[in-house]
Amino acid sequence: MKTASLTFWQLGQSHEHRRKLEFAVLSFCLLTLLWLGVSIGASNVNFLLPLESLYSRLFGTLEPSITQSVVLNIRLPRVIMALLVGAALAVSGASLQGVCRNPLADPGLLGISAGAAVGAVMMILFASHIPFLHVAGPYAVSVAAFAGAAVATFSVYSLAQVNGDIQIPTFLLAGVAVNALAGAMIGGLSFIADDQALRLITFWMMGSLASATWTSVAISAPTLAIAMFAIYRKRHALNLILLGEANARFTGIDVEKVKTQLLWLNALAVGVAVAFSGIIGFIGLVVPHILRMSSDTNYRYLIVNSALLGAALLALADLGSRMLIAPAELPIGILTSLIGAPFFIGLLMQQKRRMGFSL
Amino acid sequence: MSIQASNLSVTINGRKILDDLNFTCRASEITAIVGENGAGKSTLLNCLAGVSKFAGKITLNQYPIESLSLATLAKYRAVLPQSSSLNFPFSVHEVVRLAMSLGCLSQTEQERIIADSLALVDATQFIDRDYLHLSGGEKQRVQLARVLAQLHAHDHYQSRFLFLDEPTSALDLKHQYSTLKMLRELCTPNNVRFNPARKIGALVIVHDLNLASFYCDKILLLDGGRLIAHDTPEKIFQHHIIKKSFGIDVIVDSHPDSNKPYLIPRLQ
Repeated sequence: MKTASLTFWQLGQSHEHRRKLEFAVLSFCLLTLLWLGVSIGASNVNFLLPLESLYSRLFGTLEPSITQSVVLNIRLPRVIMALLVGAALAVSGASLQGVCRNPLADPGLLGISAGAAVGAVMMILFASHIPFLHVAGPYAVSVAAFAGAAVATFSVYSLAQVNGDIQIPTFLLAGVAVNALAGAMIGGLSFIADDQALRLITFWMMGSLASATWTSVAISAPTLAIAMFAIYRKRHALNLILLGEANARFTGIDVEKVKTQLLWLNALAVGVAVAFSGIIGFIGLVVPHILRMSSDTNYRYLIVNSALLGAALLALADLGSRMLIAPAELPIGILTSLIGAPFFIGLLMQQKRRMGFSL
Repeated sequence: MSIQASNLSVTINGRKILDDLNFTCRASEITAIVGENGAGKSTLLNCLAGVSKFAGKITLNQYPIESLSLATLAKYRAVLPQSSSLNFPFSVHEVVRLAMSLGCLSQTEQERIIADSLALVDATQFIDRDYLHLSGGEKQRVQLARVLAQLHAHDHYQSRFLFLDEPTSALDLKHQYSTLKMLRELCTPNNVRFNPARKIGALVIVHDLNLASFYCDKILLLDGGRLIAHDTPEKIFQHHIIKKSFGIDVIVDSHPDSNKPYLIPRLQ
């Protein structure tokens, strides 16, 4: 798998060279999509818009037009949110695959995203009845989503553990169970919700970045950045856990402690991502896989590359969701699932054929 | 400098896996742990490595083992478990490099240690190969190289231990002997090939009693969780002791090259 699809990257002569090239390509994709995301929109398409807006913002010489304020206050926070959420989901998927020593782990499949959605939906429904929480607004929803994600994460994890070992069948079944339970809870909540809340719940279930504002960026950016950086700092431990938990322990890693820390960080990243964008599936599964196929499994590079590719992919998906049926919007979660699900099926079929990976 | 066990016992689900063991292994000695399947060899190794619960006392270089953190232990001993499963595509180079934590050594130093360790197990030619594409024996040699790299990375500590659980189980005849010979050199004090100031002791689980006899200083014979004997190969590899512990008749002869005992099982 690795050697067969290396052709493009083999342009780089050495490993180091290849890695630099890869980093450059991914960064370039990300910047391009940032540019496109800001330039292209339902109201108009103008590739000079970002420059014009930036110029008028910095020097104040031009009178800002309506389009420019659309760019600065609607498109830009939305694209930034897409980059942040995409990076967080991809990093979360990559680290969960390490914690579980299984390439099929993903915050969506394990029910973590659904748990976060339950927390967020409950907060939306009940916050209006509690005066203080209503004021707290987006913060309260984030905290509730984080709590929901944490409950789901640790339920799945403790269910899957048998004598200190993760049993893969139990693990996937636990994910199915938590997903089903969360789905039922959201169903029940939407049953008692009024029309306005129902619209919001639907938004949560299908995923959308349409409501991104500078406020939501200001809340999520530092949280997600801290979570991702903290996960990146565990890269060596994640590599060693892939070698087997016994080997990790012998090499000086307190496996239980590292895993617990990583699970909390995952709950934080996924909780905050879901609080502002709803459930967006398959990014966490697909991104590390694409990277493993084309380059490195080593977490030294995988975390950073996942963040870059995840951000670029979600920005691309957001662009698609805005443009495909413009002026209406396709929910982004539906788009990522439409692309991700066939990819996942392909992955399963490939695993059946290959020896190396074991389910 | 030594590793010492006193009144070491392990009970799992009411069954005594290890029963009141007392022994001392010194650095610069190779000790072979031998015994039937289920005699408690791997459990003993895990206790000595500091990752299993036990009753009694184990000290590593005079420190009670439970007082040392996993990170500290990793500097004083390296362990090769019976099997290692890796399901993700790593290169051999990366697998060996994992033995060294990030930033503990310079890049050149790390590369030197990786090359040295692979050379010791005759795996230099695999360095750029995908680990998953290696054969079972080749994987085992690469894992051993990783363990040796962990030991090398802490060369400034003078006295350290290697714990190897069946390092030769998947190896061909040539590599069984070359691996044990390499260990023999590694543990010989004042060996010019390595840092002469350091002392390395090894505890190795082996099933091939002849390998144990030719290359190990001491034999630790376990039977049903009890320590039957801890002595030189000459003292332990005698017909009646083997018959009692392994239930098999053997002819004991001495090897023409080294005068070490070697065993030939009887066929009837």
